[in-house]
Amino acid sequence: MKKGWELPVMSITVILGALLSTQFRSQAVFARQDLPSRRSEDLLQMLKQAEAEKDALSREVTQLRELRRHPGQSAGKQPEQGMPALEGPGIEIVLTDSEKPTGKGEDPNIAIVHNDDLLRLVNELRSAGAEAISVNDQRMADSSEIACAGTTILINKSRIAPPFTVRAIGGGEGLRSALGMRGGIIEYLRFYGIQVDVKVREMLTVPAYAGSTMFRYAKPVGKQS
Amino acid sequence: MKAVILIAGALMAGILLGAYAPITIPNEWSKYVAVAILAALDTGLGGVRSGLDDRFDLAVFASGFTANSLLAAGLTLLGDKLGIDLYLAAIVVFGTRLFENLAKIRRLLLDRYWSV
Repeated sequence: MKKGWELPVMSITVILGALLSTQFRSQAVFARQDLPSRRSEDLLQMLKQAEAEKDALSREVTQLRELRRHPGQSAGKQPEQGMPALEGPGIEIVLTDSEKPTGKGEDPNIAIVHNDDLLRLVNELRSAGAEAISVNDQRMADSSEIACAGTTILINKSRIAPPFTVRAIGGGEGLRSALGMRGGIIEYLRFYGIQVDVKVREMLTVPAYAGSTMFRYAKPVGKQS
Repeated sequence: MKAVILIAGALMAGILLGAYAPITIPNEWSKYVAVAILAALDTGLGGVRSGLDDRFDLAVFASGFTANSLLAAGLTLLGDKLGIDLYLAAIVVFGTRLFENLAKIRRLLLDRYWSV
């Protein structure tokens, strides 16, 4: 039996407290970071929530741009900033994945619409003189990408899925013949079984560009800012 | 009673120290730290118990803490290597001992301050 048992116990208790709070702090950090260990259902839920939020925000952006465009300078034909919604005659193309069952030894990948197909189609429309193009309501701006994202395609950082509806304002018949020429894009797509539906329209609408038009790096030449 | 206040103060000081120390524990180490926390908790309560019982021995106290921590950490490491959650054994044992020690402390305190 010895006197002074408090001091050793106190020293252990200090260690205990330090360990406890450090561990608490670290675990709180990891709880925020542990995306890979979450269950896929939770991840899906988070993804859906984030996408709904993003959709709402991009709607707000379009509304605010409309608001900024309209007051004040409604008179006169000034060149408009950004890319507003446009309407006019044009062509509407619907691409659907092949419904043919793939045979033995055939790659099922060839039967679906890829980002390259859309890219070629849009490029063909542009070279044929289309003035405004949208794919599944995503306006094609000069910064729009058409990228492969797993089973979907990314345009303007938004995921789109088949069927793909491409609308282009321009001379309808001219655009149609540009696409339909021998060895052209439609023949190429149909060869792989992709269903291509082309309609010339008297009037169609191409939506406004909802992405950002701000430049972070580029600025006009010769201006001091 | 003075001892209890002193020890509670030491715990608070430790918590504050850990809260403001610029250290984070990597996730792979969290199991070891958890076991170390239990070992420290067990040793602390054991020390309080023996102190209240007037049977405190610094050699037993220090060697007990070291040996228990090393064994627990060793079990955790072995479990990691074998792919079994062997650290659960340490946690269960420490947990049981926590309750035992707490029960004895409770009786000692009741004997000292409550009995008529």
